Amino acid sequence: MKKSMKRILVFALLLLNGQLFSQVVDVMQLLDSSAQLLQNIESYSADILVKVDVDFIRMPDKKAHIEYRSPNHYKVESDGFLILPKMGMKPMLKQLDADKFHVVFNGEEAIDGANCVIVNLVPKERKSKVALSTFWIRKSDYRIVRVETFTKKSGSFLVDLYYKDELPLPSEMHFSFEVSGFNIPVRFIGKSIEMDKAKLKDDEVNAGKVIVTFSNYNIRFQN
Amino acid sequence: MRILKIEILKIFNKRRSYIGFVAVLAMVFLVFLAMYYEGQDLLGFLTQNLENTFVFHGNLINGNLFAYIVLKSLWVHFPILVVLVTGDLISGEEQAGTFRMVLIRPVSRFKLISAKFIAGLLYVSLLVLFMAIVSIVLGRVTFGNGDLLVLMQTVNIFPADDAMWRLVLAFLFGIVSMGTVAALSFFLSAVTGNSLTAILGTLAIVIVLTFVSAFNIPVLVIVKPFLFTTYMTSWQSFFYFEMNTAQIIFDLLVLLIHIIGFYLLTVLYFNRKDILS
Repeated sequence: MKKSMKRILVFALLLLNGQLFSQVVDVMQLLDSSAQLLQNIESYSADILVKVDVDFIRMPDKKAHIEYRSPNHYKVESDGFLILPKMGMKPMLKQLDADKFHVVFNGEEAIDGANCVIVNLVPKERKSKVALSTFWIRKSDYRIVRVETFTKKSGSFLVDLYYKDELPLPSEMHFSFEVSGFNIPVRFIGKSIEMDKAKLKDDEVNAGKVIVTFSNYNIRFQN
Repeated sequence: MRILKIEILKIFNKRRSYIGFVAVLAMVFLVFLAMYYEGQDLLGFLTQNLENTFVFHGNLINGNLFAYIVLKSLWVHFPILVVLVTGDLISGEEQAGTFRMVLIRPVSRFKLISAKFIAGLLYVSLLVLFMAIVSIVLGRVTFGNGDLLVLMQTVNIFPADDAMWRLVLAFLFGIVSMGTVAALSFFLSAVTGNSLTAILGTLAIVIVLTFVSAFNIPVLVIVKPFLFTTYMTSWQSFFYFEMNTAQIIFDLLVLLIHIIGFYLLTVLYFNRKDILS
């Protein structure tokens, strides 16, 4: 009896191990395919419209022109002041380098009706600013449709990516985030001097969203 | 018209009238130095919590921000420069004993006081416009053009062309604010007959009332709507993202009524006053 139990246990473990192994391979392939889509791009330029929807920032929508050339050239031209999320396409390319991360399969989820694989990336380097990134990769075309990043100091942020046509780059990015500690306890610059005692505690978390709409893409692929 | 010209000449023949212009130049220069050396640090302090999440493009340390910071000095420093001249307009002549000589000529007291009052307001307007031109031109030449960042209850960022007309309107509102201070000092100058008392009296009233208007002291909140100092800082309303035009017009009217009120009180008082000096 004991022998047969042991056999069943070993068999079950082998099965489980095999299943896990096959999932890791699938995830790595998925990541590779997804990275390949972006890494094939030698350069691109696009017009962008940036809409900032943050409680404590009031500014009109801004237009700008961006240029990217592999591997590190990134240029933004705008008439006035512009706020852009740091987590753009360039950092995403960096994060998709599987050699620098522990890759963990985290299930599947449907986003906007499309089946997506959820992949957790944990940086191997202990000094990394990022604690954990989670990617939602669409199974049908390997496109990244959502990224959630937890940083060690700057809170967490979520990026939703929307695609049009067959382009490998998004037509819209919705960048949702939380920032703590952006408070002006004494309104010394306002009309009157008011002390906001609640804000003095400095633990309020402000949520916000930045929407970047891309148009007039000009993409050059590597030969 | 001739009396007005004479009164304007009288103002600009006095050395003290130029103290204001020199002080404005010094103030603008000091703000320039502060912004040149500390501007980026100040901006970094304000945006430090956002820098981990966002990248900023564009120049926020620019001529518009410079003009805005200079404009803010209206609130505290400018009344001192104004009353130095306007608090002396009537009492100066009374103390010098020139009124008797002037008033024996065929000129009505009403016309004389009106000419002095208008000359005083012109001086105030020139002083504010001088500050506006110096700060806008110096700012543009040295720091360039750009979007304006203002901290009110929120961080407001105005495009450069939008910021320009807000600044111009705010400076124009500043003329009315300082005109109110000038009108008060003019009235006290007539009542006290002593320049020093008129100048210090006006400053004391403005400082105390500004204190009451600025802080939300529970016992005194009820009197705030009745103090002209509550409306003097309304030039800042031009830097709210959604401007409350009706409120700005109301505040402007309150200040204009104060100016006219002080003027009429001065005329009434001076018409009945015995000139004994």
